Amino acid sequence: MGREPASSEKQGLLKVIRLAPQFLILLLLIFLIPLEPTYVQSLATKILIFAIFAMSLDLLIGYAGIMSLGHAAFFGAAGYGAGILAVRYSIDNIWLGLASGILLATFIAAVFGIIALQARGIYSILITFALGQLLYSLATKWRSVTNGDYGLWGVPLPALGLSGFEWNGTYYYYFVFLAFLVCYLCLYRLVKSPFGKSLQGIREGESRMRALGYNTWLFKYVAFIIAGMFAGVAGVLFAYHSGIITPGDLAVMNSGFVMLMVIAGGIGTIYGAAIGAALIITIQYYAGILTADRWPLILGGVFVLTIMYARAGVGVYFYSLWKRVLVRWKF
Amino acid sequence: MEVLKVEGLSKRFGGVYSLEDVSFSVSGGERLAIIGPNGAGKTTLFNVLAGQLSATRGRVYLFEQEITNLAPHRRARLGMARSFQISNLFFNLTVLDNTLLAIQGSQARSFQMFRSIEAYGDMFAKAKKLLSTTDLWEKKDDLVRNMSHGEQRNLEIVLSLASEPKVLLLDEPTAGLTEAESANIVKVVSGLGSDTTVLFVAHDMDLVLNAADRIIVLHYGNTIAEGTPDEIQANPKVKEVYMGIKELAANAEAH
Amino acid sequence: MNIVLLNILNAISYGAILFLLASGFSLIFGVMGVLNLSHGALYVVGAYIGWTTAVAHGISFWLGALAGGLVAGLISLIMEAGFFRRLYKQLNEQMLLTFGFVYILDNLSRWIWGPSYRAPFTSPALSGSFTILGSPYPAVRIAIIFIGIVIAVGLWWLQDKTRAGAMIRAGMDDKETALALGINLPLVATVAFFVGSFIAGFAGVIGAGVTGVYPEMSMSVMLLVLAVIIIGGVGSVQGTLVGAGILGAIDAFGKALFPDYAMFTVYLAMIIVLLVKPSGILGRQV
Repeated sequence: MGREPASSEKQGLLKVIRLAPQFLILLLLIFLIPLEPTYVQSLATKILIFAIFAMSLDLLIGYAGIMSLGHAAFFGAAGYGAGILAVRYSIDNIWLGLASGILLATFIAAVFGIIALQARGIYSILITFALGQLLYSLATKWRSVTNGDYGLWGVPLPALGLSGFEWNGTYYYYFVFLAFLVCYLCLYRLVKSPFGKSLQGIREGESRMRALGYNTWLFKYVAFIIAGMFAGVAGVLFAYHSGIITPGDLAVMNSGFVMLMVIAGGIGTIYGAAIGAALIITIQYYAGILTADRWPLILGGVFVLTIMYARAGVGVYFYSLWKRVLVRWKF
Repeated sequence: MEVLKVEGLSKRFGGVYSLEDVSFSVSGGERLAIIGPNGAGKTTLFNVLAGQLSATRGRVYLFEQEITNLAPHRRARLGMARSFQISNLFFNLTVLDNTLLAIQGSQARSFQMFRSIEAYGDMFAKAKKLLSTTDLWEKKDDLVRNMSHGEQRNLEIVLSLASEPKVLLLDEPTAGLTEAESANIVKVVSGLGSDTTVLFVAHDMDLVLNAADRIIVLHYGNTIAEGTPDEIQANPKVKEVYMGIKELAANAEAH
Repeated sequence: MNIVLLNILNAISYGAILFLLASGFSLIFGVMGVLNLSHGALYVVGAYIGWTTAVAHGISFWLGALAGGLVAGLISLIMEAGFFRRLYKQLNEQMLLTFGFVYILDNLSRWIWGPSYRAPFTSPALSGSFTILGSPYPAVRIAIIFIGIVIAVGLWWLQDKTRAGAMIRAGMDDKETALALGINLPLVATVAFFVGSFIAGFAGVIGAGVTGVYPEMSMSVMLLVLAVIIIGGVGSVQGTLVGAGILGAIDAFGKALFPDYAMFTVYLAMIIVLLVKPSGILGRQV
């Protein structure tokens, strides 16, 4: 693309330099975090979980162009699925827990998708809102299964399946980190594929895509289900991390919470959502220390400020800064 | 064979009939021009033919199959393609991305989720070929919204050609183009051969009279005349309604 | 009283509150194109202001209702002038802003008035009951029906019979032409936003006679508004009436037949409408 040819060694080195931020972050996550005190590891675990959650939403709003305020429904449902399996049925297997949670989330996404996609444009926000609240109502009312408003507490970290293995905070951190890596790579691949490009086309001009022969409804539906599936991954990991899953985890307020992460980090980039998650969870942590009761007020303030002044995304901003540095130093 | 057939087509918006009882057919390889004053219903006709709008009454047949209620994407899969009068491009994507999406079109591979789109070399080759016909290959990485109007119109045509359609609907293909650009588009379209049937809407009478095998004239949603360029030029009703032809006919005779 | 008649009256009075709320929302959406997700929160704020005026300070209930409406309207003006105006024409962003305001308004309400539930309150004149067909029926509900009818007629008259209504409808249909015709659309939008929010706050105080007030109410209220919109369709008084009427009936009979799961009949109705006629029963094709 207009760059002068270089020796293959130099090209290799160039590639490494260009990916420096990613390498640094990876090194940080792999080696530095486990050396930190427990509360930092726990925070990092929570960040990675919400990063998966946010990236899944970015697929919907940033690529397929479907605005959703009900994404927490899949997150929460998966959490409940895993929680119920562990608490009500005492199944001590993390893989079964993951499978049941993810399957439940995917199923619900498949059902909700049909209803939500009936709406044109901005209406999808209303319907996803309503569907999210529907699941919230269900969670509060179906006390025999979900334990209602108190939430399903006492969710243990089920066994990994390796004999002699005992979970601790650091091991779970690494588990979640691996899950995050897998999800990140999958989503990254997905958005670069023909399918991902088709979604972007639909977001940019659905009528043209239809005229070009794309069954746009089907693409959006599949995207909806995939997004729900990945949200489910996050939901299960969250349930195990917190030890409790409550109806609030399904509610619209949680959907708004994760949407803020996507916007703050940068819509339509996948990595932006992850950075947004890190940002917002960190703010939540420190705000929570200052004032437990006024956190929603601060969150609302951050929300408003982000939309007003930072809606291009903080993650995107830093990425473009880095690209400028590369250009300037001729990398 | 009748590639496209339209029977008694009407389209009503509220109390107004945009199209009233329009009927015609098009044979394979034919170049049919749809002309008429502004508001005559030409773009509405295209929208109904391509499926963006549904007909109030009447039927449309493509390759002798009824498609009146068929969704637009299915018509595209049957071999129909169109360009839009107001450029309907993906403005925030690059020229190349626009073209690849058009080429990928109705293929099953557009559901492929695992390989990067850059792995599909054949699509790139095709994109290069298509974009080169309108000198857009050099701009392949430019964002469409940063291009000039003429370049956007050219891309608009390129997108409609990408699927190698059997029936091509061009809505004002040369509007907004310079003479040289228009001539280029005419060359590209003429080069399409008899496998492609072309319907086009145009106001440029030179283009219409030279490129069309047959012309249909619409006025307030009704067909008021149908025939070869010579027949249309001689038609008094057409002259009465559409003064431009009268003048050009006089000019043509003078040469 | 005949149980059916009782439920019908309940349906109508509940529907009246829903109508008041949803018509404000619909008006704002129609003119500004913004889905004001904080509309439910405005209802709650209005109710709290009414409570403070009428119950905490013992001042006239009706003044409280007025105050509730005014405060809600004032908040809408702040939202509009301070924030929406800077995001001119960015509808998605404006809607997300309103969502941010929900967090703020909810938490502020909680901060100022505390988390506990406030029992239903109303004007002393309405705290009794009227006798209908030999049985007592709460006067406050009758008043709500009456107010609902008055406002419905007023809005319908405004929509269909006045120049202002014509301007609003023009703005909904085609903004460019409306502007070209010299209609001061930004002013119309601001006024519509204020009026819609005022109605929400006012309805909050009036409706508190039936629902009471508590902080988490804003989301459930918002959901009901959305249900009315989805079922009845947005953009016309008639559509909102239909939606509110159906929802009122579902709620009343749902609560009578399956008290614990009444909410789900609402969701069911929404889903059915979405699958059969996505733009709502009287909705304009979106």
